[in-house]
Amino acid sequence: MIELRDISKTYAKSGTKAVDSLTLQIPDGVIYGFLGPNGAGKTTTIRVMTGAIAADSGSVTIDGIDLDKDPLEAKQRFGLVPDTPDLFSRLRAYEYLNFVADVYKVSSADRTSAIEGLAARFELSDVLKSPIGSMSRGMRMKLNLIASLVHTPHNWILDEPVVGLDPHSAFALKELMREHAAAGGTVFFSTHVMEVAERVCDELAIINKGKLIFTGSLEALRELRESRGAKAGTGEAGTPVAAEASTEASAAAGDESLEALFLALVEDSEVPTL
Amino acid sequence: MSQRPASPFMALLALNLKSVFAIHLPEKKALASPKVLLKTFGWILLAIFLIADFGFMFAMMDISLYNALAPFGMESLMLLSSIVTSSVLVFLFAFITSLSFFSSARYEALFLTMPLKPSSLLISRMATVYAIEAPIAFLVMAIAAGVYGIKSHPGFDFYLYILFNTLAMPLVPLAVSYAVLVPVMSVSRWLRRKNTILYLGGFIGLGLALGFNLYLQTMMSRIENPALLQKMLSQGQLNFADIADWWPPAWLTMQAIAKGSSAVSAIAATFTNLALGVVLTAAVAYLSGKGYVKILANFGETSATKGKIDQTRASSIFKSRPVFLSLVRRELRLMNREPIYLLNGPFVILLLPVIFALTFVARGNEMRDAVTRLRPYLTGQAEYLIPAGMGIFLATATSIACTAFSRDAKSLHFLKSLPLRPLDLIAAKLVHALIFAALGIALGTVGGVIMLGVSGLDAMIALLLAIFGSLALNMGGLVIDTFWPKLSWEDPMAALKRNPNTVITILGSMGLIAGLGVLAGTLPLQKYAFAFLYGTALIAACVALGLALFRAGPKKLRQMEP
Repeated sequence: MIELRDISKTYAKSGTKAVDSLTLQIPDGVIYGFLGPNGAGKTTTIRVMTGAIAADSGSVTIDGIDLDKDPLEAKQRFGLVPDTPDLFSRLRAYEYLNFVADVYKVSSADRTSAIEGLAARFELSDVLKSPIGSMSRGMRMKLNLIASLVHTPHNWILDEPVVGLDPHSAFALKELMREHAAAGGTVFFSTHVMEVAERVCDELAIINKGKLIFTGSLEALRELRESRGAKAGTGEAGTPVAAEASTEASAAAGDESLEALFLALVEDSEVPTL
Repeated sequence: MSQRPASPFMALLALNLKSVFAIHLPEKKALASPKVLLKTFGWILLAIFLIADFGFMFAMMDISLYNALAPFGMESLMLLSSIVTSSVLVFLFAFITSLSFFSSARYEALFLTMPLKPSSLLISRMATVYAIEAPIAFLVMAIAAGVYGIKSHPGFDFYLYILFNTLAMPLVPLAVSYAVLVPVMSVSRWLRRKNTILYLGGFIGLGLALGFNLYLQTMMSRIENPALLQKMLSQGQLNFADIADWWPPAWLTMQAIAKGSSAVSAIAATFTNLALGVVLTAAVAYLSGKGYVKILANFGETSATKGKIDQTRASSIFKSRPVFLSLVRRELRLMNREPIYLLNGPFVILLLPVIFALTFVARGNEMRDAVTRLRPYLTGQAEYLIPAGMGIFLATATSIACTAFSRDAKSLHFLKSLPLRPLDLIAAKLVHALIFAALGIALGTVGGVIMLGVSGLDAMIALLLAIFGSLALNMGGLVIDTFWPKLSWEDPMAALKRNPNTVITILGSMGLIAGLGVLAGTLPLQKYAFAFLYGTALIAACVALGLALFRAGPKKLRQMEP
């Protein structure tokens, strides 16, 4: 289980407030999708959640362990698939996996069995001796997926994991996510691909401009859209801009795909308030 | 009225030039910040220092050569020497730069999808190389013309001929470089790889730089020995004169400015020089355009090599190791496998002794005399300070410690998400630097002790001072890079060579060695009392830096944001 409480983060260099008072609870046994347009704050949230950057305020707990107070123990409990698969391109695949396994203190026998099993699943067994730099983007992403699971973590955090994956590997990833959640683990992943989120996620969080604009199930999102659409129809929106946006949102409400719901919700969140 | 867009070729040329000469001067408003102001002032000062340094070296050589040749009435040979020096330098830079540009061929290949002629692509690239070569030719020739002008008072036309011939000088080397590189790279897939280009460019560059250093050293030894110079002049043994005879741009430049040349022959030589360069460059661009485009299209064709792990060997390959050892291995592998890091880092330890050995080869007698003359002064502190200084310099010349976090910028987020103790990461980086520092001390201090014939106790003190000195400087470098890392870069070169921390640490190392010498000469202390004082100061520095690194370092690491 992962909990974020009132997290805020402003980048010192640009002065951009990337995450604004974000609170999230990611329960065990679910696949939790984290959606948002480009620059919404998804990667920043994941970086704060994994200790890669420090938040200005708020706290993160992983399985009840405070990330700030006991970072080593907290970090031991998750596996991360970063958004950039271009890590350590000068290492060979097995050297990278060994490094990660050493850091997580995985025994020789356990890492051998985990790596061999996952490499077979992602069809990467034939290139484990290759330099990472010679691999395609998809292969590198698969390598990062294997590295993130080498210590069989309880919590699995993935930042845009489907980018660059071939259909077979994308299918294998979705299956792995389901298995992980079914075994009682937590899966938290960010994505731009609405189809994946729609098919895989049990719960959703949508972020825009650093603020959380929705949390709940897909069903709850649909209900929310319907209720807002009804309100827009009664002319409750106060300003012309709001009325226009709400009309578009109402139109989108007819289409129940996650993409349409997502677009409408993001649009609504951008309507300036008086 | 809408502005007419630039032609595709001019747009490409502008883009190429901007990406090479990416100098972003801060805006007036930004200069209000003392940090930006200081940084800008520092860069300007460094640029002036670099240009002045080379300028001074060429000016001194020209003045010495002029003075040495004037008694024989052959002072114009000084100009010939500068023309040859400039031609050789320009050729080296043209070849290395042309080769190096192929390392970015994968990005340049994006232009292949645009409606641009193959020859336009090549010409715009050649023009970028020219823009790098030309200032070098101008620096050497302007200094030569200045020295000759002040001493011999030639007419105004002399400067015009120098100007136009200097403009022509980089063209033939440019054409020759691409005429050689395009066909060679077209036939070899091995050459069309970024790593190959970086290693090849690095080693050829080092070889040519060493060759040029040898040439300069040989020239200086002749200039400083008038009897030898006279003998060589009488026997026609000046090799720069030979080079000028068979290198047309140099020969034509000399014809244009030679004493006694008529205006017609001077103009004809200058025109021929310009025409030769332009025609040859245009011909190479036209004939090699398609070949160049094919290289861009096929550059860096890689596929992950099949490398399945043998089931019987899996347990030995996937072997558990202590985290710290794994971190040190990671540091070593990432540095030594990146050509830019290897050539400008650990390889420097081997390179500097090679330069020293070459100087010995070129100026053997003078160097042996210098060592003999130095030996009587090798008393007191100097006996252990000189070999200690040699070791300290080599041990810090690798820039490993002072770029440790900067080099890791791209993987820092990931590293920080791992359950790693920040102290382990910092210590692994220090150990990595110290492994190569030990090699530097072995070559510098032990080599110095043997070369200078230093005795047992002094040798031991030299070794101890070198160990503590290099430890302090490497720790200092790591402190600087922990507190002020350069985390924003796209090219690994920026993390090491263009990192201010590298300059600060190398200058710090030179300052320490210079300070060591000054103190030795000014402090009225007994020989070994000085060693004790200096050793204690270095140990104290190590302790202070260690405290800064291991106490404040982890906090800084947590705050680090690429």
